[in-house]
Amino acid sequence: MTNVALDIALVLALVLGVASLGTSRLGAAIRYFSMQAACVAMVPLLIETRSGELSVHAWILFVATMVLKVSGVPYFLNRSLREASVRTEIEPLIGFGTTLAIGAGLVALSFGLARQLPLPQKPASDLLIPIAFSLLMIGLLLIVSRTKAVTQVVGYLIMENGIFLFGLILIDVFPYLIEIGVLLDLFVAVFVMGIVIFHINRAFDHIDSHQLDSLKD
Amino acid sequence: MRTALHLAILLLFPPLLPGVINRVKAAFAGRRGPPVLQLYFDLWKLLRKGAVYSVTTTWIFRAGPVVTLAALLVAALLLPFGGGLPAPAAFPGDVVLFAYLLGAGRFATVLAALDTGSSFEGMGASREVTFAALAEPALFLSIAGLALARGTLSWTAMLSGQMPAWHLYGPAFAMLIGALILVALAENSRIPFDDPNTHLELTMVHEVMVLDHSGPDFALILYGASIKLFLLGAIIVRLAFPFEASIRAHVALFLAGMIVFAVVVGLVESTFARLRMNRIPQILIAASVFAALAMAVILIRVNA
Amino acid sequence: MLATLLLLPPIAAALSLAKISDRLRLQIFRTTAFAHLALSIALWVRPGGELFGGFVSLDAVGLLILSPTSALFAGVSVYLGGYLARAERRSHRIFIASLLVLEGALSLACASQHLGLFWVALETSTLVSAPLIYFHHTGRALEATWKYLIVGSVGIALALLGTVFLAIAATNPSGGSTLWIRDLMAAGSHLSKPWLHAAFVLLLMGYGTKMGLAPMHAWKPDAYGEAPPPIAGLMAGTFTNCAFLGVLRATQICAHAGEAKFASSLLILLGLVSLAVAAVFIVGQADYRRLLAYASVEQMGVLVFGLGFGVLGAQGSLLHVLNNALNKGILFLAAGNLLQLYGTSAISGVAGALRRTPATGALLLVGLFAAVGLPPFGLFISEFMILRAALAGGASAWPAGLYLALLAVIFLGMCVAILPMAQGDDSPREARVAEPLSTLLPPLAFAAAALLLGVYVPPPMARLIDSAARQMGGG
Repeated sequence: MTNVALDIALVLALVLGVASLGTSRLGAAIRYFSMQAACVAMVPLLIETRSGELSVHAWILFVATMVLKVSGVPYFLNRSLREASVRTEIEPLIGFGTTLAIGAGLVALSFGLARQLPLPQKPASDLLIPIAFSLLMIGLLLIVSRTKAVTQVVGYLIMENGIFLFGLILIDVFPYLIEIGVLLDLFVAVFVMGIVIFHINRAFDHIDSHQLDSLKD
Repeated sequence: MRTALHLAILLLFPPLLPGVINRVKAAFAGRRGPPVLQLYFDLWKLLRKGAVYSVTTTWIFRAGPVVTLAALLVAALLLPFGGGLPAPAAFPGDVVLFAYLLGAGRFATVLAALDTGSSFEGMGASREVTFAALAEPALFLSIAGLALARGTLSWTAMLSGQMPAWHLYGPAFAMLIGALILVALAENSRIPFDDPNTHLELTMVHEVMVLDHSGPDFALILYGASIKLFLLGAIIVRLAFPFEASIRAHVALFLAGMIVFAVVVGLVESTFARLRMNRIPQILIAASVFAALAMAVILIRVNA
Repeated sequence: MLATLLLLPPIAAALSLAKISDRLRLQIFRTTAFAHLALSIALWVRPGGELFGGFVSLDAVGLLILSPTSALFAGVSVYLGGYLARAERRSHRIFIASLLVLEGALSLACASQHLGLFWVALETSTLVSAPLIYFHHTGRALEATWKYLIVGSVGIALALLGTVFLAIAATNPSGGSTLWIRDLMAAGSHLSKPWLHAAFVLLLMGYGTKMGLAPMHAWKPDAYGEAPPPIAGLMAGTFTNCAFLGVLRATQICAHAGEAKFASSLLILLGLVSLAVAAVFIVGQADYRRLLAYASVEQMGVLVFGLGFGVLGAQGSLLHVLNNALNKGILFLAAGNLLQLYGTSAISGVAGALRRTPATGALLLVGLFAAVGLPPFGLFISEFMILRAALAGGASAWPAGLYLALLAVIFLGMCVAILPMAQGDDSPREARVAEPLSTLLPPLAFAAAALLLGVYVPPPMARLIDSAARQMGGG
């Protein structure tokens, strides 16, 4: 039995993740993340509808994610962008096309990995684990391959989306702990990172972390 | 009878598509635009004209358009236009033949272009071939995804019959259609890959290759281009509207779908601009990535 | 008692955020740190019970890691008096508050019996140490803080994922699961193997990043090189140990599930890689603070290496935790003195410390000897125990051989770098510089403790180490 709406939400999240690999506009990357967060926020609701009733817990998750990840964090990042007055990412270390190709390879790897990890109970959708892995890897790829600090933060946030999806597997067992952990972690980390970015911009007049290379061995 | 219908549609319908596209573009620009049947009139006019051949060309130049059209017509014989109109020729693996016939047609055009010895044609040829090389993985990955979903390697089996696969592979098919639309735009030299209305040779990709053909040769090229658009559009339309009905309803639906496809292409042409040359590889890789993602999703489902 | 120990630092942090003078803030920190130390010592005598529904309780391992943490915080609180007096003027509000929150979070981590709570504690520590690294507000400090944040956040995220995987591995057929450490150990072979393996790898990579194991160590030289030396010493001696606790718990669970071999091979590999990386970068290092950072990478490698050799190796590693904390205290605090007296981090900029600043110079030498594992200091004993375990347990002698060889290279590298700093030749015109007592007493105390541990391990400590190591064995 397949849950089409759940599938669409998951695949859309994946597509947005891949799209963020190929874009050079920072504002676009933040927007893709925001839309992806909205898709991911729908997932707890869609999982629950399959089993019948919607618990309060699922609604809380949905609302919290929407407020924090879809509105709060992007607003915050866009403010940092405005302060720093940058619009585009220069060519990353390995080029956009190569990044896309590597990203596709990582997604294929994730799908393969997911086959190795069978779940004790059948999950709500057999796309959940592969796509969670894919988001994790796409986030890591963004962090590693990009130069602008804001894009690295977006990569970190995409990674957190993937971890959130993993946590949803345990939605019945650990209703609050893991999700709250991820949301808190995200919120505080982005807050602190935002402040650091602000300081970086003030100190260095740019937010290009590859120009932060005076510390070397 | 069905084969005759298939052939009739194949031979008579394609030139309508560029007409529809131009009308849509004109509507967006606030003009009335050329009549929808314009291409038919153009073909008729060109066939009655004489051809001019440069002294630097050889028989390759004359053979180019003919070979291209022949390849496209043979490829069309492999494609069904719905369950009611099976392909006149079908065998397992004909998808590969189809792709390579398209490639052979392109090869003949490129050879003819290089035969003229002009640097403009050479530039167009190199660009066209590069972009085709990048679009090919997207096409093959999409075909592979479809083949996985339907469990067959023949166009007729893939695209005919009821398609219960939609609710099983819904998002994956959506991605496949997206990738195929990008491939169709690339192969047919439409915006955002190439601007068919530009008159500056330096900005052309495909148009500049066929610059030197005239008269009947040019007619063959225009006709072949419309057939190519028709073929790739037919795949997309069958994927998107997999309905089965009585023969008449079926044909009507299919043709209507093709017109919708042409309108969509017109929309894209009117609202987007041609990409910078160094961005085109990126978007083609994106198409391949989408096709690969779709394939991954289908793989998971097939083995579930 | 345990409750007081855990609640004191956050309350003090809230207090220090009020509008009070910096001197008062430092006093608050000192009082809290020493109260914390007193309570930790008391907990040796009378172990605390379970609190908050079992979420918090000090088992043997937890107490072993809590004690050096307490001691270091107390020592640094004294040291900061002299250090901050000579540093540039800026408000210490965020600084002291962050220090206190760090102490609270690390104590919570040591006492957690629930992996989720442990993770939250470490996550808090990561975020709250960022302002500490950035204290001097230079451009280089900012760069170091950024790298620390990004790499640290990724590490913590991976650790969270590993925790989630463990919970998935522990799902029983009726759909329930657990993240209690004792339940996970008890579940043993019921844990799903592929998920357990994936969880272990992720926990090792995630918490290993916080420890500063290679190849996730990239942030360490920058962070320790740019942070104020007492902060670097604190982090090297406490934070890394608490992160090691995470790796330890993961290994415990693996061992009880019968996957000890799998865990061991990864631990030994990462340990040797860290040793190798440290060796490469210590030889020829030009900055003494970065040198100490790589020395920390080395010690983390030794810790993890020891953990890969069963109960014997675990005993060595646990003793090593204590010794390493003390040594880092000595070295980093001495480095702090040097930094403030000589004004430079370059090794070439410091010479003749024994003559100019005799006490600091002596401490530097003592720290060097302790850190490279010369007897009679404690590190020798722990490194020897690990070597013995490596030879006894392993199938081949290669790991042990590599271990010895790399330690030797590091020994040479560090001596070549630090000895000229202490002896060396300085111009006779330079006068002797005054050294405030507050900057000398803590490292001296640490040195004395390191010496003591090398000569005589108090029986209660030995017993605790023993029982902690036994927990590592398979069920």
